[in-house]
Amino acid sequence: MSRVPLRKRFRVQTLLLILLCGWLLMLHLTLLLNHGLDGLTTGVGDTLLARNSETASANAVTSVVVSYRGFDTLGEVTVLFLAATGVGLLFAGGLTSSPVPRDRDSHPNEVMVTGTRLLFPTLLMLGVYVVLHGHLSPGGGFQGGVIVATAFFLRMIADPAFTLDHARVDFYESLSGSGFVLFGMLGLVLVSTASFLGNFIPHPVAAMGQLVSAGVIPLIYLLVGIKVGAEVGAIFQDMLEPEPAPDHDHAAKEL
Amino acid sequence: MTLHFTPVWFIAVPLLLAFLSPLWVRLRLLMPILLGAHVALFALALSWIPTVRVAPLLETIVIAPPLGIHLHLDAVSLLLVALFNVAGAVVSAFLWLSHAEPHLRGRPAFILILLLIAGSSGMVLTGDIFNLYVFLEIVGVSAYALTALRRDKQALEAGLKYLIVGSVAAIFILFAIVLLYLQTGQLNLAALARDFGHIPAPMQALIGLLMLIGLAIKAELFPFNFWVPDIYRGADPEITALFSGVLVKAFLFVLFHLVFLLLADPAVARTWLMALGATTMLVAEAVALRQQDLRRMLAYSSLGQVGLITLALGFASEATTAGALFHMVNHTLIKLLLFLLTALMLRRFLSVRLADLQGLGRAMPLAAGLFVLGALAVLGLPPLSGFASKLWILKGFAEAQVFWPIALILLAALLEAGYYFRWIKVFYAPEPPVTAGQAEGDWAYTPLLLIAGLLLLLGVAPFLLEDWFVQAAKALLGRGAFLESVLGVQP
Repeated sequence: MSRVPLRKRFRVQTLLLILLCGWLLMLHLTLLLNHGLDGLTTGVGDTLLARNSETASANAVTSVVVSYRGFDTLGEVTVLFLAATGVGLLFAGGLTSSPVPRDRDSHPNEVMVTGTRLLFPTLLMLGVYVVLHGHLSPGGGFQGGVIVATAFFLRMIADPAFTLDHARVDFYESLSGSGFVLFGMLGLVLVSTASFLGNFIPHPVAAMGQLVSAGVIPLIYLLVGIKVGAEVGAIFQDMLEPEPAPDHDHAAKEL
Repeated sequence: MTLHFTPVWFIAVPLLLAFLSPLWVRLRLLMPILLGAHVALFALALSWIPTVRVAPLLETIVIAPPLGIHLHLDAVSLLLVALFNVAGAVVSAFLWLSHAEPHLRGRPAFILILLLIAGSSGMVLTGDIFNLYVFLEIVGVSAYALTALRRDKQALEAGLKYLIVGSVAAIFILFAIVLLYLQTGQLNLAALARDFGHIPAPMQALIGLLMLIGLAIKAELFPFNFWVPDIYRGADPEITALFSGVLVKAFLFVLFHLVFLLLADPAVARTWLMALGATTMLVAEAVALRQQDLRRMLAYSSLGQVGLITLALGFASEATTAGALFHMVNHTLIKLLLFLLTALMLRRFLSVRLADLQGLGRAMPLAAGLFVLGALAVLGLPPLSGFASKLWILKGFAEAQVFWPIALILLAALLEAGYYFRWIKVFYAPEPPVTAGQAEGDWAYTPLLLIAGLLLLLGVAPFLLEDWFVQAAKALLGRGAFLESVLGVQP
């Protein structure tokens, strides 16, 4: 080590690149942080906020995420779906020639097991609450779905015998994803809205703040919650336990 | 309740089919659905030609633009969406009919190919810049996973490389979008185009630069395309056909759509974009001369054509733009043909290095013949379609009395002739071929013969589509009409 000259131990180019990136980041932050100090803006965000009552969703963020820009949300759900597909593709069967199986004999420690036993039902309930109250309070399908998936992840770590049934996870994922698109299409074909993802269920403003309000918004958020939960759960499972796929050896030979 | 055929079907139908994929696996319908979806969407696109000719079709989603997201179907986006679905149909027919490896026919491949095409259509159709970013992510994530699909060392390395480079490009684009929103408070493309001129000039330059770097990485333009040959070498040729045929075209469209919309006078960026295109073309064609692997050679050839299209689009006259759009269509068809032929050769010879393909013409006469046809079409020899589109571009430059691009394009064609004939000479070498793999059935050639027929048809009768290309060029350059159709006012 000591024989390596100093200029070879530090790659000057790499250092310069890091410095350049750091400088660009600072520049960007300066631009961002200095913005909006002078009060009101007149962007679409403010206009949408002013029109929020027409969705009858007490949480204005949710009406933007699920209704006004619901098409983006459908896209984001698809990105997550693609990422889960990619992770499943790469981790199924393991990447090395001899996949390291999860050690089933190693027992997680007592704190982990007891803690998870206490936390699991609480987390599950919190997740469901966050999903179902997405149109009333901060949170919603994405956040709640991840909380539910985390609950199952803790369960997987604490109990080596516990695994999610892949077929069932796929079923939920498929059902909720196609449900989202079908809701969108229903909005398109019904004359009352005639727009993709239109809110075709009556949503009187008087009901704002109640659990049953805002028309399709809570239903779509529920589907998003199920989908996100199933996908993140499937990603955890794929990473935790590379199952040797039956056709892997066959595929490896062909290559 | 009525059945509306609207542009949103180009995105909603593939998403629905992809989400329902476990069902198709159970019914053993993956490949028929993949082919059927693209054919049906292509037919849907054709059914709109008469409507779009009159006026662009605006599809509002939930709330009217400029507040909400809308899809903007005009002549140019219809042209590209139709092209993407043709490419999807050809590749899925090829996968279905030939002895493709199991990983290319499984559920992940089905989902990824379907959503790659849907995402590209979405990028072309959307009228909202953040929605554009969402589609860009869909396309990006599917492309990274598709690259690594084969899961051997090369494919994984290529996938990882693509993931890193693609994410960096996406971050550049996202930064530009954030700055645009902070400066104007708008996300709709038409509203952004209206307000972009009021942004302070240094900020305009910064946004333009960030956007240009991000999109140039994605659209494979010269200083930013160092990663391309490795990806094209590592991924399966069937997948590469989609990258070269669909992905790059979608990003090129986005780049020029934004340039023509945001800049009131595109001449500001003309020199820069033309220089970028010309260097991309010449550097790629020169490097392609020395390649020993067919996939790398085709990758550089693809970059060369992308440079040519950039050069012609950057000039922003109506004739060169129409010619460039025609060349985009041609190049997609040609590269589909050549990359799918590479897939067939790879299966038969288990290698596509120059030295291993000696005497290919005797083992696979049809494949060699089609390769010659594709090569001649790239070079632009009559009566193939490459001739018609290159001639249109050259005529456009000549009419404007600008002659240096003509000289460069002809020089590039000479270089192309050099390396394509180097490979053809090896194919027809007198040595006996050394085949190690399986022979392919005749069915695999059906989609390839279809493309070859299209190349001949478009070469003999370019007037069939000429009107459409002129309309598309007008739509792409017509900033005023775009703003008027969305915002209802003449800027």
